Amino acid sequence: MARRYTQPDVMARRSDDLETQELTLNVGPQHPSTHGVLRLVAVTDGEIIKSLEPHIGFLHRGMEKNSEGREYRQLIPLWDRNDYLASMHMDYMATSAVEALMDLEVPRRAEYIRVMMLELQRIASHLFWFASFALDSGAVTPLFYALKEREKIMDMFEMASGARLLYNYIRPGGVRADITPAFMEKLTAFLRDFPRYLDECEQLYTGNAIFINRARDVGVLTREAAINLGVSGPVLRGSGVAWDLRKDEPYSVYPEFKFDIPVGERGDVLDRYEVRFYEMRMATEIVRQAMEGMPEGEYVAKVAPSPKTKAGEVYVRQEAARGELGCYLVSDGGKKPWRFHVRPASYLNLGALDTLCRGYLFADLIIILGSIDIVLGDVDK
Amino acid sequence: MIIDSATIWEACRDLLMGWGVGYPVAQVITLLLAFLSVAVFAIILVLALVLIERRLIGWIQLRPGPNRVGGRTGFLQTIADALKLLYKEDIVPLNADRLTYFAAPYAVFMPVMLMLVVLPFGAGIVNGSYRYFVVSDLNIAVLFILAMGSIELIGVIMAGWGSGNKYALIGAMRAVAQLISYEIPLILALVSVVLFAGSLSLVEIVQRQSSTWAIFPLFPAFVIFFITAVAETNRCPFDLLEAESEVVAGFHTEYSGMRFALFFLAEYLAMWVMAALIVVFFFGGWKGPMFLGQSGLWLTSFFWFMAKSFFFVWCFIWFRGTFPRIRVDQLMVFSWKFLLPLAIIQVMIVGWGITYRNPWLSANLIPRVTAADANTGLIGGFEYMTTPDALASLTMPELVAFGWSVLGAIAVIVLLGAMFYRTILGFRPSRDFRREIELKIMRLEDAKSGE
Repeated sequence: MARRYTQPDVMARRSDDLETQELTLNVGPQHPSTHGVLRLVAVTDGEIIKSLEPHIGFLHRGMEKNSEGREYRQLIPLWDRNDYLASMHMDYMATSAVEALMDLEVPRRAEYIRVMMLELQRIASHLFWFASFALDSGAVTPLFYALKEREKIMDMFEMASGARLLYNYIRPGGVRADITPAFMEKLTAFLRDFPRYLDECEQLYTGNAIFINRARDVGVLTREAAINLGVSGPVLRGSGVAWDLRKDEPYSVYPEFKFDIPVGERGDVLDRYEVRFYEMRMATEIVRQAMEGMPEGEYVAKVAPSPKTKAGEVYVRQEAARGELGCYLVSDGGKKPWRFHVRPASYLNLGALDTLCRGYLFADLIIILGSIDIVLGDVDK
Repeated sequence: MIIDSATIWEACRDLLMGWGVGYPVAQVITLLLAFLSVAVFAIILVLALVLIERRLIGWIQLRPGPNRVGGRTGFLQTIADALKLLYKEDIVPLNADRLTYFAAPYAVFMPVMLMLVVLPFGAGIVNGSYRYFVVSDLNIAVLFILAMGSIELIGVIMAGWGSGNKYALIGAMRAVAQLISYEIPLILALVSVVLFAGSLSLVEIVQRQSSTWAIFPLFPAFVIFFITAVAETNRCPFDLLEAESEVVAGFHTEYSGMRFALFFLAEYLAMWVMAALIVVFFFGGWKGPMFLGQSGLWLTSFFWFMAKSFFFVWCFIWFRGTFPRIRVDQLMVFSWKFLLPLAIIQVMIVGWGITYRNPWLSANLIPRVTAADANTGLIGGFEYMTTPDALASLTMPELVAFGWSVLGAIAVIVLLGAMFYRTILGFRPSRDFRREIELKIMRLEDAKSGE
């Protein structure tokens, strides 16, 4: 069943009868399915990829350097723009780094709201991934069905934070605004409908024989290779490594929630796909638990308008939608960070693309790239 | 019943000649008139088709589709699009091979137009005799159609090569590989139809389906032809050569303006022509449902022809709204390892049926075998018989063979029924996959608690 062409095979088979020429194909930076401005230089033999090199940096905005000139609370709207499809995770990344260097007691209600928002954001991000992944594989219709559901989450975020894409919601000490009964009403309706919607999506797309044939045993990343390449998130779990920071290195109030970590078996595109779908179901569960167990009280602790941190350094990490989102903050005790470094999951996951693609067909490249789920803002910083 | 007759255009020619016009002039005038009417019809049809596709796809995809130009139905949208394309700059890439680049759109468009020449649109009675609405009732129409389908391919490779673009070249290479490998099952499916009808003329093929539409005895051939028709028109799920997520727009990546519009026109026209060919070969062309009999009215024949062909156009659009794209090697495997053997088996079955004078597999046209013929080994002509009459005239081995074909038909119906049941009622892959993952998770948790 394994259909991966190894390079010696390709060369031996071709050298017998025909003298062929390698074709260097430049995919992007303006290409419909590179998910932004990514340039891939693929060396192909016919349609088989022999090597692949991603060229990144078209969207580099110097955000890390930019951060050094900003106060801590100004970091949040800036880093919102990094991974614009999962802004809540970005908010939480900047916030948790700053909070780690401040002696702050975050109210429990704030932590619950945060977890709720982070998981809703995970659903929204995975839904957008599903939309673009289906589009990459040639099916346009799932895009509209997925975005219809994502719209509902956007509406809820708008009710909570006032913004639809870049929220600036989670901030040192808690969250920007308390959630309202209207929000809860909308959330209840969403949680009621969403699992049924996921079933519908899966019936529409997952069961399709064409899709299964394209995704199964394609883009296989072995367990060892996944660990060596430093990939994280659904890509890592799709390869069979049960590593989820929410369970293995719990942060916030995640230990109080019950949820499963889906793990793949073969490490192919289909496994990563299934892992993400199951994560959406689990995120729905977490949101439901957060909603039911929402404590009363303050939603934000008292924090100075432009807070100072202790001098020191800290590395915090969390399980974002795309994988491990780490943040290394060095502070000299002032109002601004001395160094602010971010470990974006997309960047490291993209590094596995060459390993994933070698020996597969050019048509597989697109679906493999889709299964990694990168956001170019996150890659280029 | 086969009625000896001619096309309506020949009636026109005879009319002109009756007025004293010479034969060559009358012939040229009527042929021009015929082709012009078909061409105008085709252009209007394509404009309508584009709109229908966009509205239908919009309906499938939870969005309104074109709804601004020309009121809420957007019926002027495609006309506005065509005007826009007329005004667009005609960009030629610097490293284009100019001659092939310029010629390619015409090389793609013209063969599709020429296919309309042999397509029978309808039939009716003019001045007491039966006439067909077809530009030319070629006696080798099936060959003509296949030839035109293959010439289109040259235009595609010209476009891909002439553009000087790697995406275009890859798209064109894919197109050639795809179209050639799908043409073989398509031809074999048509061979079984031709064997069934005993003629290469489309009008004859339709007329032979008076008693039974060819889909009933030749269902596998219909399936093959339907799939290959989708592939030949490069529609989803076989739209590899213009897969926008992979090769941007395939062979017409570099084209703009009116040249692009010609590709667009050819693609949609080909879609409808293929739907019409499915109707002609398997669904009795312009004939209505069999129990209604033959009306001989122009309007009903047009109606049935358009209704049936648009049903298949709708199927094509529906596919596009539903399926992801198949991968290029799986496309080849599907053609060579599934469709081709199935087509060969179908041809063998039809040949076997004709040898054993099976009325079902030979459109009730039974070879007349006289004593003299038995000596020479030649067939003394064919005779239309109803199924009971034909069965009465069969010898014992032929009756046994007919019995086997009945058993085969039952087997096919049972098989299809089971497949239908599994697909529609009993088969939920998503649920099964989910359960698989849940099991994996449970195993994982067991392992953790064990530690």
